[in-house]
Amino acid sequence: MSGARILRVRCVTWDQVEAFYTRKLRRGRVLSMRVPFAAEPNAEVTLGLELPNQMVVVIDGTVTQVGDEVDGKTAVEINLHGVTPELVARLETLVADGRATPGESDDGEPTSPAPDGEPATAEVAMLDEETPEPAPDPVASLSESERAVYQSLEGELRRMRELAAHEVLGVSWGATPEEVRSAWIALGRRFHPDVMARHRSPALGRVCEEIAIHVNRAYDRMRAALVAEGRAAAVGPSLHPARGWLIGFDELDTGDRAFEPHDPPVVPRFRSSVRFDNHEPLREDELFGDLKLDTSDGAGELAMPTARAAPGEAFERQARARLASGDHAAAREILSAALHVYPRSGTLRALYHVASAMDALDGGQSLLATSQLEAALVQDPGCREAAVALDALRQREGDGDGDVLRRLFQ
Amino acid sequence: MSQASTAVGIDLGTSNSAVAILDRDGAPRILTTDAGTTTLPSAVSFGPDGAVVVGAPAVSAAMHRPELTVFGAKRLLGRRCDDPDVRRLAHTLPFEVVPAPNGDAWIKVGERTVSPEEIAARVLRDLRRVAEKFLGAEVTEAVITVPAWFDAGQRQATKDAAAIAGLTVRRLLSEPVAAVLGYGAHRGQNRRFVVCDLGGGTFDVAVVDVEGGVFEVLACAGDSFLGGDDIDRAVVDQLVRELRHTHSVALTSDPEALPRLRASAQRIKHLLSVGIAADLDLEQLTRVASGTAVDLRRPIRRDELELWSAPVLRRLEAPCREALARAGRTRDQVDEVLLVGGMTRMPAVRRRISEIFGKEPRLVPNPDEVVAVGAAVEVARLDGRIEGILLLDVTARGLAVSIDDGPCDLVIAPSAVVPTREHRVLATRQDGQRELDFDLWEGESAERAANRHLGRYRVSGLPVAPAGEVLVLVELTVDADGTTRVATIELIGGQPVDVRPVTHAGLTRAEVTRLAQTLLPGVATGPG
Repeated sequence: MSGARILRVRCVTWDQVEAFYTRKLRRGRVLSMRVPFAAEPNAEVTLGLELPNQMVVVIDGTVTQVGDEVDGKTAVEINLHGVTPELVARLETLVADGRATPGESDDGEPTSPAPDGEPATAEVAMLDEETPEPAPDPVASLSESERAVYQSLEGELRRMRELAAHEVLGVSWGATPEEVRSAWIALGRRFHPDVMARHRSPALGRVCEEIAIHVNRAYDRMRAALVAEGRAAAVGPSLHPARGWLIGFDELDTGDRAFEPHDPPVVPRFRSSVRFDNHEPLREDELFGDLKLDTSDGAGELAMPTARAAPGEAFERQARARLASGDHAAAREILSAALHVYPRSGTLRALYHVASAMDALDGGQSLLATSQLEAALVQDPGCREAAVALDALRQREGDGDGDVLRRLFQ
Repeated sequence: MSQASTAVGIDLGTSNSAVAILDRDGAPRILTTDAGTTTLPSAVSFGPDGAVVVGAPAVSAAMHRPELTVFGAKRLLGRRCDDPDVRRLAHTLPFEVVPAPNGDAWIKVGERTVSPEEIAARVLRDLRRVAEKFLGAEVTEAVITVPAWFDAGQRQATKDAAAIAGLTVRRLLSEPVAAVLGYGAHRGQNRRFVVCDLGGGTFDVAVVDVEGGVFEVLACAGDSFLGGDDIDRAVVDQLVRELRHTHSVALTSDPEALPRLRASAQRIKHLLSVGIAADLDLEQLTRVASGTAVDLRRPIRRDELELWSAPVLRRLEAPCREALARAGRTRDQVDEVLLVGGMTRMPAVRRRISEIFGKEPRLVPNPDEVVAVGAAVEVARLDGRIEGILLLDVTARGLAVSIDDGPCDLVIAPSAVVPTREHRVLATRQDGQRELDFDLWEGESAERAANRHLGRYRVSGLPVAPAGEVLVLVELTVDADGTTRVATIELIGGQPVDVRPVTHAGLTRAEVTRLAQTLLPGVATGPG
């Protein structure tokens, strides 16, 4: 997570704005609140105070204390160093002005203050992800208890809007198919539009549908990722751990040579017309030998630790073999196929960018190559080939030496 | 009985429809029509004097004026006239299927054309009348069942039909789920069901998983041209052949005799589901060239019927296998085979299905009505009277948008869980473009020809700007009923802009309102 977290505090009445700076801040600048993410101490936080006139006052702060997590929400204490006497004075004038022009504050939004006189501190949404609101619902027709339900649902919806797919479902990124499915069903039991149908309220139905849409989309995305990785099978709305009929790609080439790359016809593609050495059919030890940075002393460090059972190793090996033989386009195709199977592998993605860069170099597009190599380093900062190639490319602009590039995968 | 249940469960079938409610103690009750039957034939007959009859009278009217009697309108509902299925169907129908101005399949009845929605609405209105008579209160809401494979257009058409009949659809429920609900699966343990629904005109197979109150349709398959009518036709064909041999009469050229024969064939078929033999007795069925009347008197044994219908029954197997294959299951992984639809009363059908799945199918006591009962259970569930059930549904087909002559860009994937929403951003292509047209397609292909055109929409009121600088976000929402909504937002200014359908599959709102107004006065005078 780069950059500061942005918390949005929505004040629907000017009274709440006043309460914010008069009663909510301890020692003039310390605010306690519960946030729906795991906060670390000393994390930067930007607080957007949303005023009833749609204005947003931005206040910087730092997390000072983190409490326990309850129901997916963490109690934090934030030191708002942005609260200066000038800011308070500005808020005071805004409140005075806002009260002078009444009527603007309540427009369809439920304005009844939350219980315990607490301002709407829990209403947190990322400033940079504004999902378009549907037209205001006829909330007015709701009964007292329904209104409470409505408000809690709306809070839930706001919370979900800022979350990633796995956070919506409340599971970890690497959750198993069973976890994803049971989390989704549990949410479905709470938020499916049918659950609220007995209230016969369009407003409740609408907000429930919105939540269900968020939950279902999160499920669909998690499901698609799991299926793409070969970890699950999906039929209709279901999700099952992959049994039998889906075979993990890495299982294919253990022990036998069936999946060894065929000896590709070596086509020199590099513009400098330097021929590559013809390759014997590659053997496994040679493939790993390729990874050695310096073979002269026999103890070179490996660019890719072989001990790690990396996802898509077979793909990677194939791709590297193609890269070594100079068939960059083929390597790129292999890697693009690999990314369909292992969409989360940073190593493969980085290698894909490297292959694209080499391909671009074949076509003489060094600018494109540079940007591809930079992209590779973003995906995997440890990608040695990208770093070396980028350095070489930058130097080459000076002296025109393409040797390093050519030797990259040899 | 005042506010307890103003909503009813309706099974809007291809050949027969039914309406059910759940009593206060939770017992299902099928409402009987004026004719005393629990199902209402989904037939509408237009009299020459403008009178319209629905149900059993329409079926008997079909004998006299087949070209003015519409049945099986559900198969045309929400379809385009150039749809291959519709073309194939149109050949077999006694009435004429014509294209509506927007390309939908409509029906020509005498001088006027009617939409399938209107036919369905007339059936729904009759069912509503039956329910109102029983309940003594106005019925304004319903849960209506649709086949699981109904796409967005067909579901919307069903909703429109309900609106014309003055009914608000609380939920469109897929038929296999309704059957399983009506069977009472939510009270039992976790099971995997295969629902085989063989009705008058269609055969649907669905694999439904029930696990801890969670219902999900894993896969469905079907043959929309396989049903009891085919067996009737097989019997009629056989009898016509026999008459040609014995009396040298060509019955097919006798418009009076054929409907009579068909009705008797159906009756014999029903009798032979219980008995071993039945007598066919048609006096003065037709005349030979000399003018002598020909009577058709002959006992028909069950084995004869089964012999004649064997080619039809052989077609049951493919959809069953297909459904299992789509669900990725073998037949041993199926816990229960549920038989739904009147045709499953036929012993030969049961035998065939038990051969296919390798286990005795579960006999539902009321195969004609179990779907309507399921719809009634759904009403109770929506009212909060039954808890702990979760019905999961997915989109039958994908939704795509295209702009100008470009390819279709898939927005909502097939088998995405509903409700769902996805969006695409479209950009203007010309300087100062104030309007943007886009097309909405149903289907997964990038090829336009492979998809079904749902409508063309025009976004107007865009700000003046150079080409490509005005971005419009098109948001497609599929709700829990499987019907689609379109919303647009202009991204630069953030204004919601006006979006209007230019052409649109299905009826327009105005047409629905107009039809509702012409039909509704009948409701007020209907129940005496």
